[in-house]
Amino acid sequence: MNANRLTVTQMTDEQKRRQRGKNIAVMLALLALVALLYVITLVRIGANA
Amino acid sequence: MSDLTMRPDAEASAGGVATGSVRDYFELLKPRVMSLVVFSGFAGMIVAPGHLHPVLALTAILCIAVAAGASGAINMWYERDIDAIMHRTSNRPLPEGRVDPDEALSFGVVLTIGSITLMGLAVNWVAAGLLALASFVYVFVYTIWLKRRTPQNIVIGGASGAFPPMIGWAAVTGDVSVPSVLLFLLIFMWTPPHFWALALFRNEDYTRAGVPMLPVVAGERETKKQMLIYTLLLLPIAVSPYFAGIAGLPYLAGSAVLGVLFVVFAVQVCRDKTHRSAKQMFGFSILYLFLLLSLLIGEQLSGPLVRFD
Repeated sequence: MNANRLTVTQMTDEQKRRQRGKNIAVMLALLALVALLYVITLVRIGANA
Repeated sequence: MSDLTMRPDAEASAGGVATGSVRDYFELLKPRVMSLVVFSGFAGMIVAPGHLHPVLALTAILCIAVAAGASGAINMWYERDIDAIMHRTSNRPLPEGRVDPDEALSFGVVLTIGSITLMGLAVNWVAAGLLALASFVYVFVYTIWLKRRTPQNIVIGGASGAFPPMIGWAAVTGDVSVPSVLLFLLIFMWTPPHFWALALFRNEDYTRAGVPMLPVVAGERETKKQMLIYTLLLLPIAVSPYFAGIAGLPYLAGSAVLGVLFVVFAVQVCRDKTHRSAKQMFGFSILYLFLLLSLLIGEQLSGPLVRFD
């Protein structure tokens, strides 16, 4: 029965703030990666044209 | 049948809620080490013959930086037990419990794979292969295999830190050639005296953590002798980029003067019974490499090389 035991934790306001900060950082990093891949593709296509 | 339990806030972090901030994760990437890696990678790139589109050059530098940082994160994950014992490292995110170890490992592995893949797809697979090799040497050869087993840990493991100029070179040319091997050797021979200077004045830390650094295992006298030998071996290697045709007279003069100064520092360390000279030599070693790489970069940026031939 212990194997099925679920634990629910509550984040403090500080933890929520940090989690939000990390979420925003991940979003910005992914957007930057998409933009970089787009520009790299243009450069590579241009080089092979 | 499941059993639902509410935990009070105070136990939240112990219950698996990651509490690390963005800054904590950035700290996992060892930003200070990363800056020297980026600088040496850039030096390799700029002295290499040929042309690389600025976007691709920037991508290569980014990949080198991220892969180096990611290896640092995996290193911190593996060494969190000894980091907690040593003064210098006890305030890192993992020993202080600011980041969950599993997250740190995932963070490092994902960034390592991502940066190597991006290097291969965007730049070339020779540079990506060297980047993978550098990460492999740092994580598996240095961190996991050698660091806790032999005083030669930083000699062999130091190869990982010597790869960046070679990777930068390969990003432009797509190959490994004599000048890039010389740049590799330059950092490879620089690493032991740099780290042993640190190990001399952090001897207690390493002893307490059970890390067999040379001063811990062989004593200070032997360490100082080895440091002097490496600085002497470094002298001809440091001037060799001139003879390989990738540097000019300012570099030749600068590297000779800096090399002699490095030897002088090593001699002072040999004669000093305290750790004052070791601290000075550690500081100088960073300046030494920074100035050598600056000379290489500066010459390339300021027009054709000034040479005798």
